[in-house]
Amino acid sequence: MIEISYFVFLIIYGLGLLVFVIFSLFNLYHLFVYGFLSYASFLATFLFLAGTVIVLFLTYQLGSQIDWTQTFTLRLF
Amino acid sequence: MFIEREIPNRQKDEKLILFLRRHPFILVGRWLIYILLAFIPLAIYFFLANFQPQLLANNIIYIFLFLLGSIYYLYLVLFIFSAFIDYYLDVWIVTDQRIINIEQKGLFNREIAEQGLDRIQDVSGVQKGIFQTFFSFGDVHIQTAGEAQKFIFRQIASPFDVVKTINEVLEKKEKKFENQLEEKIKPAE
Repeated sequence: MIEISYFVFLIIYGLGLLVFVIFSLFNLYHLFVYGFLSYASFLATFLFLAGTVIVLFLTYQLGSQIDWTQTFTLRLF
Repeated sequence: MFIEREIPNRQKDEKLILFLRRHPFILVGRWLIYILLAFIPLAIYFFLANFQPQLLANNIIYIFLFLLGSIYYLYLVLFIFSAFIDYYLDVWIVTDQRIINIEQKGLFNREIAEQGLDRIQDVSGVQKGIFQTFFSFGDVHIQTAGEAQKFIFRQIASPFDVVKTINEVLEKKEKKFENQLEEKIKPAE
């Protein structure tokens, strides 16, 4: 029997977040290097960043209500 | 990054005639699909809350679904942004000297082709299907005598007007060339 903390879920979530950040940077790089300076590109970038912040904020708000130090037991056999 | 309407590798006295992107309907269509996908986690939560509340009462399942939902929405926002970039970076430019085809095919795959107007052999417009007809968008096919034999302006607004404009530019260029030739011949006479 292994006791695993809920924090493990946060680590896996963090990895998913890392991949998200990498692809976001790729997209922003493409837009800035190959794109055209215009209101449309500024607005799209702003909305993307705003959407990201909103999702992360809501995740933080709901996640802060969870006790991540709690553990659960995993039975191997 | 260059200013909108600036021609790549601009030649002397080169004038911009057309600066084209895909019809906005294409982008809006993709966004609508992503917006519909945004309702899936809400529907799942509604179903579980009303019909399987014991699942949500389980801490592990709740945490798993909560974090999965967060990642789902983050990637949805990313895909919406990627759809915009894919739409925004595909550009077709017609000047009084050449045509330029700039296409972004996914990440790290960019294609730029240009051809002089004097190498254009044929220009035609295509509009297929109910959406293209009602929203007036389609493809323009440009047959050239270069290595990239066919340029296709994809899903652009008013393709037949674009064909007409290109043909007018070609006619003007031809007349200009004929006038220059006449001026060269006249002194000899």
